[in-house]
Amino acid sequence: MARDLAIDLGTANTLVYMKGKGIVLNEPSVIALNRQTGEVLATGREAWQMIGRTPGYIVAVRPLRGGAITDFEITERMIRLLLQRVGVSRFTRPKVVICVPSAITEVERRAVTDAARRAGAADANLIEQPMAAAIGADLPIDEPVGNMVIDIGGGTSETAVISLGGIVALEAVRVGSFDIDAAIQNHVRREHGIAIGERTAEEIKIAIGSASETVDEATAEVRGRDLMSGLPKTVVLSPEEIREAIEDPVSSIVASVVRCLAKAPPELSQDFLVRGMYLVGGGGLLRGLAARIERETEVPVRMSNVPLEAVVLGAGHVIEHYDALKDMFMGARR
Amino acid sequence: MPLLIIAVAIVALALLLIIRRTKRSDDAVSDFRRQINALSPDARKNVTERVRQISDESSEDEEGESNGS
Repeated sequence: MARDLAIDLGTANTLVYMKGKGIVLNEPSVIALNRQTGEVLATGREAWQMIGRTPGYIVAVRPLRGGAITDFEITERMIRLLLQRVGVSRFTRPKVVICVPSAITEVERRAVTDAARRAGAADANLIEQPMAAAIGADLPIDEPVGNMVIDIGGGTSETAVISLGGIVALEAVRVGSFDIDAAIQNHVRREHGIAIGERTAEEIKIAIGSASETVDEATAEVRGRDLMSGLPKTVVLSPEEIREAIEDPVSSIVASVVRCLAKAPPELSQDFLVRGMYLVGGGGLLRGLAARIERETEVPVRMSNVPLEAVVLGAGHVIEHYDALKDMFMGARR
Repeated sequence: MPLLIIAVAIVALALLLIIRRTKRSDDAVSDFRRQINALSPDARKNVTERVRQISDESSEDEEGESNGS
């Protein structure tokens, strides 16, 4: 008998929750393929380590961008391999709940459910990421009070107001931490004349990236390829210049939070002042982001205890109470 | 006689419709109640427990790293 699964199919990482067991898989959403034969060579962490370091015949790709499937066939193969790794076989077909960004189109929704079904799921249902995040962050969404959750992922940032088990207001932008990495890559290329890979850009963001001034700021030494000479070169980056470089994606994220606050009904708005908003998702770990949102909205921002796992834990709760919560699926009766 | 049968059938049909409608609205109420109950803190004990476990593990890891460095 197959154990039902909840999957957080993120642009950056994929997490799988197994009913009755908890989180059984947490890996980057990357797949490495042989360019000539199309064979899968590696998935997850192993494939992630290959990004930007492969010979010509291997390609390591992220099949999701902005929370949506960009390559249906590769995504299906990735999901199939993930399901195999958690023990799903041809004879054990589990029910699957998949977390997706709320802003995805009907076509994109179909692509995700079809990919899961073809990969071995008996039934595939979708749940909005902010809703799952609110359950996973343990917010009291069963009460008639305003709960605000900001989920900043790799490709999307979503802010939702939730009350009585339903989404009251929602604002989503297809900007996430990968856009911050890309902004760093562009800045280093433009201002210092060196090319760096996306993994190095991510490391710079983690080391010295910030959305507002912080107390313990340090510089970082970065190695890349000089665009003029083609030789390896080292430059020193300051936190101020990185803050300036990532200003565009950061301000888009903050602006979407402000727009969501403006959409919330007044009765619920007053709850936020007391209860605050909850930040989840890997992008929420950017230094100074919570303080920046707090400063621009004048609403307290609290970090979830489990920012990276909140979404899959929420979906896991839904799979544990499948019959009672099936009305929460996207496209179900509201 | 046939008129009586038709009248009885119409009345029975009307009763059936009323009962079904009442039942459907009762179903909606109980479905909503079930959903809200499934989201209550009691029902979410498992999630809370897992949240605590993960945050304990990560704080232990951080302590280990800072002791190690």
